Amino acid sequence: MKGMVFTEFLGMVADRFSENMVDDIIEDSDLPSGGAYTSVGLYDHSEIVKLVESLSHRTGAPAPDLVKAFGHHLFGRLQTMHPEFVCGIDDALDFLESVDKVIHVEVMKLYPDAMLPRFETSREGNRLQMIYRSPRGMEDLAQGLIEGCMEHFSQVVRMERHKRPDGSTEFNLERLQ
Amino acid sequence: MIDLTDDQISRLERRLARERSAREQAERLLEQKSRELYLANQNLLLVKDDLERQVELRTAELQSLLGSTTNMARARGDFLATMSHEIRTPLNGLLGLSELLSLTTLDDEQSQYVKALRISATSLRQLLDNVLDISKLEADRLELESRDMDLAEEFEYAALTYRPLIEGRGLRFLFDLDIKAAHMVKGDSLRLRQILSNLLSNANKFTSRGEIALACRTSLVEGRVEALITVRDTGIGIPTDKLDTLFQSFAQAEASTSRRYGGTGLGLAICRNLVEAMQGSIRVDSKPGEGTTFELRLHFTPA
Repeated sequence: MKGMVFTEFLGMVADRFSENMVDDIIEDSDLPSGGAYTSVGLYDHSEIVKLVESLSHRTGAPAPDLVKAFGHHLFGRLQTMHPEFVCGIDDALDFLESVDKVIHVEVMKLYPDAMLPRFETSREGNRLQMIYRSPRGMEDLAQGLIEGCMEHFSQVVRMERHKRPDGSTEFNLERLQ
Repeated sequence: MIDLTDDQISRLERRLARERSAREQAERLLEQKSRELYLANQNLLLVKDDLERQVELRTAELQSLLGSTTNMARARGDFLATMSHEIRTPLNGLLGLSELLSLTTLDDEQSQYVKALRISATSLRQLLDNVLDISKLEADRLELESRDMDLAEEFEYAALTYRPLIEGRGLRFLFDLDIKAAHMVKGDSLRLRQILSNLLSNANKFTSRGEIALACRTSLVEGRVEALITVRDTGIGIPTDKLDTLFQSFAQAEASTSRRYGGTGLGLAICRNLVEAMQGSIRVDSKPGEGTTFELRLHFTPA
């Protein structure tokens, strides 16, 4: 998994809790990398799972909530770092449609070995169906990112999420205003 | 001075160690990526060199191919020119002798044979002249003369020659000369006659009813005389798909054409080559069954 996800996660923990909390969850988690992350490195996906579990354990907050909160935070950071992808788009559903078709294509150019989740979309006016597929099962993070996106565009969108028999996750979004 | 507890000092030391390790990792990664980039660049340079070599090789191959093709074309032209020239000498002998023979006392049957002999020999000489012209033109060896010439005279000469032939076949001959703007120019009158003669004899050959029109209009364009010449007939016309190859050597619209109407298909090729040698242009417009119009644009220096 891209190091950027780890450095952003630890950055969020430092902001919302403390630098000490960062130290503590790293030490609790017994990580192969020792928690020495750089945004350009690649690290095992299981490390983020362990870090989230440790944070949940220390704060008492449920892990899915923490991951969703991280999704919100990550969307804001991504659009600050790569404003070109949001530029010219004024609708959350339009943006979400472009994730697989535009953004992930660009990411693959820069990082040919990146293992990206798939977002299949089908659009009908104010409704968008997104099917998230990834062996990492980070649907909470996906939901957090989607919510972060709606916040960014200041739009009210109703979201339903459910697991599909094939293990993928379906997000049904409807823009209300 | 801030007092720190042992626990705080140990925590800071661990944090420092972690940051240091991350930095070293990043440096290693940077070094590895730079090396990869360098190798990729080297590889690109090799590919570029290889491509350049291939382009050079192909270019040389093409040049040599072009050279041998040009040589072959030249050899063919030289052969045609030499053959035509060599054949002309004995042929002139034949023509001269048939002329002499016709002056002797012959009975009617013999006179007919001698007449046929002269007609055959004359058309053979015309054909050879055409072959000579086309081989010179295609080898860029034909030199055009630049002498004072009166366009009025040239066109009237052409009209005078062709009017009886055309009208004798029951066709109308229309002649329209509008050369008030300029008529004295520098040019090659022999070659202009050759062009007009080719076009008019074609028109006459392929038209069995209606009319044949010859027109010329001159104008002054940027100090030069532009002559717009048209030769129009109401003859059999040319199929659209044959128009493209019409001006190529030995190309008649249909193979059966030469059987029915005669000719070798050199006339229009000669016309086009002559017109181009005069820095002019020739185009054709035709509808099968309705007729054909040739339009020429020639430029002359005023005399």
